[in-house]
Amino acid sequence: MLTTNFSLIIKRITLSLVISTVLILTGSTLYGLQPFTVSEWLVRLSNQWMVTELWRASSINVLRAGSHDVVAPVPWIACWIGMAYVIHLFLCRFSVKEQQSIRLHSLLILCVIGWILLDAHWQWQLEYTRSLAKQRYENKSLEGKRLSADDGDFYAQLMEIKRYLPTQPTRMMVATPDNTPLERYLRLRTRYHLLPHNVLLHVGLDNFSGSHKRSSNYLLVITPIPNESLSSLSLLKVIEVPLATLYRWQ
Amino acid sequence: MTAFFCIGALVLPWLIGGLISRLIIGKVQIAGWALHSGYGYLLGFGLTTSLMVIVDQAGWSQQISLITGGLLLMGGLCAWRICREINYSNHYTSNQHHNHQQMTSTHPLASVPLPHWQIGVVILLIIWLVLRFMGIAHELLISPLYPWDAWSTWAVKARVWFEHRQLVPFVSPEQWLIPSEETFYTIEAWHYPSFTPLVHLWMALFIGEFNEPLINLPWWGCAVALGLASYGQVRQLGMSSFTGVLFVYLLLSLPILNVHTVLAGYADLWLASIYSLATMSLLNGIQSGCLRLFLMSIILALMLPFIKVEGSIWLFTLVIAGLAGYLSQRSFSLLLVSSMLIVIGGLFMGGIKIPLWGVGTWELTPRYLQLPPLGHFAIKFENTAPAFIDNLFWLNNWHLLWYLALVTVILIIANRAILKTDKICWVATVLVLTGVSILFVVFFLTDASQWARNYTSLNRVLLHVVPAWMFCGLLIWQRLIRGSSPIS
Repeated sequence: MLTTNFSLIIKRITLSLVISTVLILTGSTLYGLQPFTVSEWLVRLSNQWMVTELWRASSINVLRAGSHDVVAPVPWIACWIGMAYVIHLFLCRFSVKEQQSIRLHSLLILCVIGWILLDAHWQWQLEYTRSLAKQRYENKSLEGKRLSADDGDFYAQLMEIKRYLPTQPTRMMVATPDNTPLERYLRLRTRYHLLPHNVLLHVGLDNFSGSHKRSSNYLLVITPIPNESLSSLSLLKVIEVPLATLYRWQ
Repeated sequence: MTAFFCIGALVLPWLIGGLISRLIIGKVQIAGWALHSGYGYLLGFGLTTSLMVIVDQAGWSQQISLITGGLLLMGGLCAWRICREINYSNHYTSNQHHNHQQMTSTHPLASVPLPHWQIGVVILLIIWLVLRFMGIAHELLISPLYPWDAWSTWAVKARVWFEHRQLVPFVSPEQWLIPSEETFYTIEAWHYPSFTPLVHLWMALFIGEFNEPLINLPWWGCAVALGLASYGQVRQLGMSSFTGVLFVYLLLSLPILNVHTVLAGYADLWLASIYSLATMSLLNGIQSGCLRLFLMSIILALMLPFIKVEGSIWLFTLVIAGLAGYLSQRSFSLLLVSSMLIVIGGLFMGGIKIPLWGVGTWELTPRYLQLPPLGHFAIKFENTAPAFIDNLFWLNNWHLLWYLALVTVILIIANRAILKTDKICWVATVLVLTGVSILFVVFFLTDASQWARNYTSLNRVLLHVVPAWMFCGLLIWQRLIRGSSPIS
């Protein structure tokens, strides 16, 4: 049944999509959705379609590119497809129940068309991040890749500190004065880059106990500002770089 | 040379896993290559990581020769058993012309030649997917480890184990401060399952260096395996290769799934793949009555808690779905109602406790919900609907998936009679509703709602179940279309 009526279905779907496009464009223009003219609307839509997003720490959780615009791709496509389906049903004059499978097939075809359009937009985004990664990392050693990363400067400083640590894994503490998001990031990043050294992360510079001192050999303080609270502790400064200072417990 | 080892590290578990899959599921007439490749990959990495734990428990260091030897031994045993089975099957089939345990898709549509336009669409979709995954592989292979939890949690363990060539224990920060002769490290998530770091460790051991881009390659393979296995299972439902490829395209083009492949290092993609493959086996097992598929489903379901702590919860949904498949609708409904009455009664009495062996005690009181190892959650209502609407219907995380899901819900309500007449639709609906109920409780009724409101967990938790739910949706659409027309 589907095969025989396939060309008819496609013709109706095409017509529905065209009518749906016209209705959405004129409707949004008439009912005051900015921008007000069809041409402005189309320009905005095409701009919106080209919006790209750099990978961020939050990208693994949520993709936000171009999301808070009146012509955000997903709801716009959904609206367009939904309206086209209603028009399609009207064109079919609400066929009798025996033709439910054709109605379902038509809905699926429309959804797949919308899906492919969104996927083309997504492919654009993937190509963008890939080209950036290529520029930044291709043909570089692992060391070069790390130095080229967003925190490359910080990594370089940590490698400088690492030279003053024993070659065998040693127990040490990495501390920051507070627990701001940046400080949390720096503590965690420090631990990763100092591996395989055995690191305990610590918040605060005035709350070290005897067990902290007994259980670790070094203290690495991540702060660009000299901190007075450290002066009361028996520490020997080993090396200082712009973002961090390495001490040995005495 | 590194490339050679890298491919070897990926292919060896895949091949051995493929043999195990062939042994468990048996011979499959249609799209068996896809089914066994997909299932084989996940089973292979499950076996590899298990062997690494066994080697550690035996007191040996993590030597690649030991683990590879174990894998080859398992592969040899499987190959020998499969050969025996084939010989036996040939003999048995020639005498009986019947094999009641073999999984065979006998639906006429499964082998009907496709019309030309469908062949064209299939080719285009395959090319599109191949290009997509080549691009992803390229970015993956040149980028250092990027996502937060990957370098702050999972890879820390892997790197330490790689340097020590031993699964050095990770303890709480408080325990780390207690002087001891033993070597141990600490991270915040020290008690999390070890599957993900063991995958990284396996790659690093095989390659011989802790090469950040290369150790992420199994994530790419995981997505590909999910696609292959899904294709195989769709074909077992009696659907055409056109429907199979279209389903795989819809699945593998989901932006959030692609992100978890290209920004590799999280456990969510593995959990999603294993859960969905267990679900597909369960549903196809119910349809075909093939015991081997139930066995596969059980094996994969038991892997879930070892991938991520949320795995225990998703395992529970599979148990509920299994019960729905085993019991009659009336018995299941009675069981459900009586369980709910017990829970409500228990809440009025101050709370209920369910001790679970090896996990701890699950506890529900009017003030809190305790689900070890997931955590302790205070009970309070939070309206996180805006976050859900934003993520599901507005942002480009899922393309049009949730709009299609809404349509499917409307169709099920309009055709609810199929739930009474069609067992597999009933089970699929129970599975999805159980998952939805759990998500509702966690994200609307507990303080875990903060993770939905700040968008950190919402999409990742949904990713665990979406491939399985998509398969359930496909099943229901198939029934609806077939119910109204003899040809679909």
